[in-house]
Formats: sequence, structure tokens, C-alpha cells
Amino acid sequence: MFYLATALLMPFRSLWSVLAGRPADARWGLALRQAAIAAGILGAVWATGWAIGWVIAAFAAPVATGSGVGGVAGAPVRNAIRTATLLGSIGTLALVLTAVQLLRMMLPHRPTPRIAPATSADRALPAA
Amino acid sequence: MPDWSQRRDPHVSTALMIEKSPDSTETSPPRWRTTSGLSSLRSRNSTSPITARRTRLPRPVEPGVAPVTVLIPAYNEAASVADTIRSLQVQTLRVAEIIVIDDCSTDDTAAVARSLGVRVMQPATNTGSKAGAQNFALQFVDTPFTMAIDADTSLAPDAIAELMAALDDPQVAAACGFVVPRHVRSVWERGRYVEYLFAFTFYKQVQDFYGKPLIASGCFSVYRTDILRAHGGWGTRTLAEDMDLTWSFYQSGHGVRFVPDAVCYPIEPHDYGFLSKQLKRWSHGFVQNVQLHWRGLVHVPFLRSAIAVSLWDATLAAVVYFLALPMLAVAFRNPWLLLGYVIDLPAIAVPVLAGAAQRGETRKALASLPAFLVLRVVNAMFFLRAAWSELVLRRSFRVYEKGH
Repeated sequence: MFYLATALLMPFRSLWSVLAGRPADARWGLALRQAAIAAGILGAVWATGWAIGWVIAAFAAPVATGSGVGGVAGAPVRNAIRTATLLGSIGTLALVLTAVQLLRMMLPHRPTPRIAPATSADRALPAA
Repeated sequence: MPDWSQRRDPHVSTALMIEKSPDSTETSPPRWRTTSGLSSLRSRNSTSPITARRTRLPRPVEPGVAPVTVLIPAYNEAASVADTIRSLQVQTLRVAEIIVIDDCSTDDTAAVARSLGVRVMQPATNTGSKAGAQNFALQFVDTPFTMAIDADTSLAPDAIAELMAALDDPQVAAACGFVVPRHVRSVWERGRYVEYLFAFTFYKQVQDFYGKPLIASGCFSVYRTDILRAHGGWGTRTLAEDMDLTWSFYQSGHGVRFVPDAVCYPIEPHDYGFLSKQLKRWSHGFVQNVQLHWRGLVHVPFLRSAIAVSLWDATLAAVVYFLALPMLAVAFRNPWLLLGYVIDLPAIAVPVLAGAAQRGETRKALASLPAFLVLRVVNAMFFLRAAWSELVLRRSFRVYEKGH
């Protein structure tokens, strides 16, 4: 979900770069390609959700309600799955990103200590 | 036997195996010897290279040659290092020098390398890690750029030319390329093939657009030598020194670029034994780097979110695969719920097939997709164990192991 959102935002960020006078940062080809892939992933997710909802409604609903795929129980089951999946994904992503932002605001900037700098030496002996 | 390697990406590795004593460190082999070409074998004993420093002068490089020194750390890589060297020697952009660091191999690694006319260096004793071998040779680099490549990795002919172009920007400290497994035969290689296609076609390109590739893969990356040295070279404080280095670069304000047209071909684990050691290193290395860097990284835009999401996704995947799905299936007595293991396959297929189509490998990618479903469950198991060990039990895993 995070990468889908950031990929879909890429063309808008490119547009912003152009408007801000930094056309070299736009990278339109990359932005549009990744946004297209993200759109394709979303399409695949939607199609999969539809198919799974159909399968579950077809095989689970008759047991519970006695109705078939096109029965009364089918549509609510499919809708519930789609809605719960979407809300769950967005909710958890928002939770994670909010937690990171809170950490950023609460914690003072403390970079990771560096390793002692490496140094150069005499070159190794030349080739014979 | 303990061994070590190097992850190629957030979920990615190499082929170097080194005896490591519990208290060995990355520095100060007291003696070293170096050989070059077919014949020379000279030694400098009793004096540490570190005590023999002098002011380094940039090496004059002839026109048409990239001012790059290539470092190839190797331990028992006789079977693969020749392919690596040959692929470097036929690059469209020649490099100033190729150095193989033979970390006291017990096979013919040094002889194979010498026979191909490259410089071979050998520490007096095994350095204990890939980072140790690279740092040993880093002292002798006198070009503005240093390239690291694994001894089981070969390059596309234009890979270095493509990679060097990214370093025209002086703010860029390192650049890395697109990784594709050289062999795609076993279920593990196929799973890794799909994993890489997905990551390098989608995730990594998004990360690069926002200026923060998660990691400059150690199997094939080029660095500005002065910035690399200023950061202490490759660290051994975690099991993923390339991730440690990349995240250190970001915290000091330097940039890293991902160059999708610079393609490298590492040999990936073909069996579970090799794979398990690699995944153990990677998963522990990731958790160790999060522990080490998190206070600094929360102030790095985009990267903080990408790492948090990676951590969350890895945790959630483990919970779903090993707890939620089987328990729900049993509780509701409904095996259809086990479809959760494959439910996202169509979504995964989109970037994978997009990447494969560009390479003319659509059928291979389609045939490999099921293997990825197996690999990711194994990935989740290793992450869960690493997180439990490092974060809950506070037992830090520090032994480099490789499988071949």
C-alpha cells in the first residue's frame, strides 16, 4: 500500500518539480511507468478481491443461508471483504506512518556514530 | 565452517566464506602479501599497512579509462571468480585496476585470478568477513572511485559505464545496479528471480525517484573513495555492511542512486542449506541495522517511512502466514481461507511481468511465480526468528556464514 501510494504520487511530484522550475527532477518516464505499474497492481488486487468474494460467496454462503452466488448473502459478503481489506490496509499504513512521524517529533536528532575513518596507505608493490 | 556473504538488496547475497574467530575484527592483519600478474609474490612483513601510511595522491588515469578500482573479495571462489574478472575485462568502459582480495582461500582462487592478469592481494591471516577483506584493500586504492563486486557476480558489458554516469552528480556517494540471478533452475533460484524482478522493477525504482534507495547492494556498487573512507569503509558492526553504509551515507547528507540499466548477475543459493545461511544473515543484518540506526533515520524523509513499512510488512507477513491463516482455517473449518497464501499473486505478477517483458523473459517469470510464494514464507520464518532473537532475547547473531 505504501509503495502503491508513493508510485501513484510520482507524476504529481514530477509536475510539482516542473512548476517549481526544476524540470530536470521531473523524470517523467520513470514517474509514469511506476504509476502505471501501481495502477496495474491495484487493478489486479481489485480483480482478485472480486474473484475471491465470488468464490467464498459461492461455497460458504449456501452452507450458512441456503442461498447461492447470486443469492441474498452473496453481495454483502463480497462487499464486506472488499471494504474490510481496503480499510484494514489504509488504517494500518496510516498507523505506521503516524507512529514514525511522532517518533520524529519526539526524538532529538542523533545520527548513528560513525566507524573510525579508514585511511589510505602505501600502494601495494607494483606488478612484476 | 563459518562463512560470510553480502546481501544484494533489502531482501537479497554472495559467496565468500571465511574462518572467523569469535573476537576477530575487521582491522589490522599484521602482515600482508600481494601478488600481481602471473609471477610476482612479494611480502611485506612485520609492518602493518596501517603504520605505513602516507599522503595519498590520485592515480593518473589514461583517457578512456574510468578512474575506478574494482575490489573483489574472495574466499574459496575459484569456481566463479574467473567469470567475474572476465566480465570486468570486457566492459565498454575500462577500469583503472582490478584487485582480488584472496582472504586466505584454501582453493585456487588466487591462482585463477593471477592467471587472468589482475592484482591479487592476500592478508596474512583471514580477515573474518567480506568487509574485512574489502577494508584491507581499500587502503591501497588511489582512484577517486571504488567499486565493490562479489566474486560470484558477473556484469553486463555496459554495467560500469551505466553506473558511473550516476556519479556525475557530486552529491551522490554511491550507485548500485539491477540484480538478476545468473541461474534460474531450482525452486529457490526461481523464487529469488521473481523476488528481484519485483523489487528492482517496482520498489527500488520508486525509492530512487524519491532519492532514497533502501540499500546500495554490496554485490555490485560503486562509491566515491573519499566518502567511503570518511565513513570508515565497510563496517562489521552488523551482518549487512552495505545497509549500514548506505544508511550512514544518508544520515551524513550524501545521496545514493539506483541505476536500472547497470545489470549484474550473481549466483544465488540453489539449495535450502545455502539459502538458509544467507537468509539468516540478511534477516539478522536488517534487524541489527534498524537497532543501530533508527534514532538517526527517523529524521531522514522517505527512508524512515520505507523502513518502518518494511519492518511492519515483514512482521505482519510472519503473523499472517504462521498464525492467522492456519488458525482461521481451523477455527472456521474452511480450507478456502488458505487461499490467503496466494491471494496476492496477481498483484505480484504485474511488476514482475513488466520487468520480465523488458528482458524478454516473460515465460521464465511466469513459470517461476509459484516458487516465490514458497520463498516468501521461508523469508518470513527467518525474519521472525531474527526479530525474536535480536529484539526479545537480545541475542545478537554475529557469525558470517555462507553455504558453499
